Amino acid sequence: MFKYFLLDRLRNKTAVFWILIFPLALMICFTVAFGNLTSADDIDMKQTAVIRAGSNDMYYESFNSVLEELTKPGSNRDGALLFINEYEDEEAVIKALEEGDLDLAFKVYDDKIETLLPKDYSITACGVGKTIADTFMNNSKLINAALEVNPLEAQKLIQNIGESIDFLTAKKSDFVDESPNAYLWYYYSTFVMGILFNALSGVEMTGNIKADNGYHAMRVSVCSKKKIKLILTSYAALLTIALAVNVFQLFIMKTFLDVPLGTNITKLIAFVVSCNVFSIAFGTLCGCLLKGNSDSKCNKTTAIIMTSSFLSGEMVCQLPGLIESVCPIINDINPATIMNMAFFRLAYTTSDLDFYSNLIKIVALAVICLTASILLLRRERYASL
Amino acid sequence: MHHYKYFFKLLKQNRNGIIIYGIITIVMFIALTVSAKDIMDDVGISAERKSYAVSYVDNDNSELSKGLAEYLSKSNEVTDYGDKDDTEISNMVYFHITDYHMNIPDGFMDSVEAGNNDNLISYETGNGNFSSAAYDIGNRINTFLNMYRSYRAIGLSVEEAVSKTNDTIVDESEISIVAADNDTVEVSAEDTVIFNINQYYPYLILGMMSMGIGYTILITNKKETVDRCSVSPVPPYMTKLTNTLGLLTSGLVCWLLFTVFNFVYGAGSEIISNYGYVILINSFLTTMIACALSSLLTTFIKSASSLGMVTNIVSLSMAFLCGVFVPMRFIGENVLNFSKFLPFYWTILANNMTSSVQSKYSYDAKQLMICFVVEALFAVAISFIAIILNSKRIIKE
Repeated sequence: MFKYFLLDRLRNKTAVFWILIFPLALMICFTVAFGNLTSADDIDMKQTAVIRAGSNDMYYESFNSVLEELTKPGSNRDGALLFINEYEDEEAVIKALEEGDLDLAFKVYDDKIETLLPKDYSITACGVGKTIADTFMNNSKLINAALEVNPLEAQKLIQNIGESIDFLTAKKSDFVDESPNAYLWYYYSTFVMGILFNALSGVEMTGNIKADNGYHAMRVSVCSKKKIKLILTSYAALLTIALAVNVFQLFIMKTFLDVPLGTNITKLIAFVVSCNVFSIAFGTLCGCLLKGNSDSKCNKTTAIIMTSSFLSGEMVCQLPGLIESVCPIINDINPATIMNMAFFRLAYTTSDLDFYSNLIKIVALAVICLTASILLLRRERYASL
Repeated sequence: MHHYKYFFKLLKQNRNGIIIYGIITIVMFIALTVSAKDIMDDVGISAERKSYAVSYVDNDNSELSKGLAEYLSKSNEVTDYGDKDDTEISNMVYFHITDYHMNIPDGFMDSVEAGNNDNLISYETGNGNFSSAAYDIGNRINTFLNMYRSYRAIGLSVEEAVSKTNDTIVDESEISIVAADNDTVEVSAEDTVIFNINQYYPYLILGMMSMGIGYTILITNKKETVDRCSVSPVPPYMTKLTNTLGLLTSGLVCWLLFTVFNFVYGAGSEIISNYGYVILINSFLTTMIACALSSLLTTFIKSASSLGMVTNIVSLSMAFLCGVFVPMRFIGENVLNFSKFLPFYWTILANNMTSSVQSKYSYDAKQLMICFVVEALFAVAISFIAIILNSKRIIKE
């Protein structure tokens, strides 16, 4: 019987597509689309110019000497950071900015620097300009203060002004290394969404057992086996396929897509098993409660999954926070939120208690769904058969 | 006419796909409206710095840690989470109630004084530790602490150094955006919504045409229906013709509704005022491409589930490769070179020209014209292939 349900499921191409192919296809799309984001952040040489708007010679000269340093090869990973263009006056610089000949320009006053950007400025040009201006203004103030308070130390300070210590460290995580990919969460939430799609298998499982869903189900329902055995065997077959699919997806994620999966295999297995147990059980309950034929039930369940994913912040990441402040119970019962949160705790926090408490919640929900479905399915009788 | 009416009767009976894509469109619109401000901050449309929700637990309780919190609170919303346990904090981070949470360890000030990094501030942000909040707030914290060290190095006391750092630190140097007199650099929330909904339009209309309307074509392509028609006094090509006309009519209705939305919602926006005609033509050509693609897909696909699979793969892969979901400027040159062979690339390129502030692509009339011509050619070419395949099928049947 187990083999029967296993083969029946594997021959369903649509199901295989949604739980196996679709999440992987999405992940490959992410890799193609996000693959260049890191290199897009690389800073290429910026065309710049300087406008003098003040009469403080020292301030202007000091700023120019800082910019000169940044025009030298080696000031950037790929060579020089800036190329300084000479223009006759301010009007010419403004015109060059308007026409897109310059990436940015600096306007030097007596005690401050203003960064000028063209209309279609790049984020890196904005960041480079602002960092140069802020750093120069801060250092200038610092040196002035040092010259007032302790001229002897000021000299030493000027020599070491470029030195900077990093006082921050990202919270230790089993998943994320020192230079995390900003887009990792997309892979994780797609993996979770793929698990949630197993609910469709649960719906079809009930479709194969409820005799009013077609000849196939009629045949199953009149067999001599006990209904509960049929349900549990079918459930076990679906779970086996779902777990095999997840293992394959995790292998692809780790090997080909370079998505870190941490070192705590036990936790990862616990997460994958409990989430699959839940999603299939959730699907069986949907299959029992929703009206219509198998296709119609699948469509309705897809709508529920999509709504659940939407409320969990799949599209608008601020949404769960908004719900948490208005009606937190929605987050407590929303399957996608619970599963995403469990994955977040698996990936980013070290507290075992937090992680396992979420898993217990998921398993408890699975037991409720499965018990309810068994009670509903085994009591059904078909007078017309 | 009878066939044409029958198409819409069937469409009405099988409206689930249309309803689903209608809901997706509405949800996307609501999501865009709600997150317009965040989109503007994320893509750097606004040169003004975003204020973040920062939380902290201060285990050091020193002059320096208090000074740091005071400094951050000048331009952010800073909250002390000292009374919350780890689970509560984890929830706050997950739900983005706090953008940046930091834990200042005991003995932190002593480490800074010694110039070592034995007791570092550990931080966490929602969805991983690499975000604009992590970069911005992290940069501020390091600038503050390094400046404090410099003040200490010239002989100021701890209190003086903290106070002096707080007074003199500059992290908001002035930024101005230069534009010609007739150009605008201001982007309203309406502009953001209009620009982005037009960015998503190719994905939505292809889904709507293929999975919403295409499903009806599949029903008319069923063997039973074809057999029934073949014994009626209706020429074989009539079914295909009415399918095509029905598809085109549905596409035009969708385009009209979308256009009405664009011009009503974005009535006061700069995009509609300056580039309304671009939006109009571009969305029309995109609709034609979607109709042609839908016609092509329904030619060789037999079942609704296969149609769903193929449409999802085609629409999602084109959406990712052509810059629908990820801005074109972030996509690699090699990928974009390949994308030029896909119709949505030209749609997105044309749409990018309607808001150079948001897309960083400048308006270029010549380039825009090329986009329109290529889009039209794609629509014609795909339709032509669909007609050939359909003709072969009619002959075969």
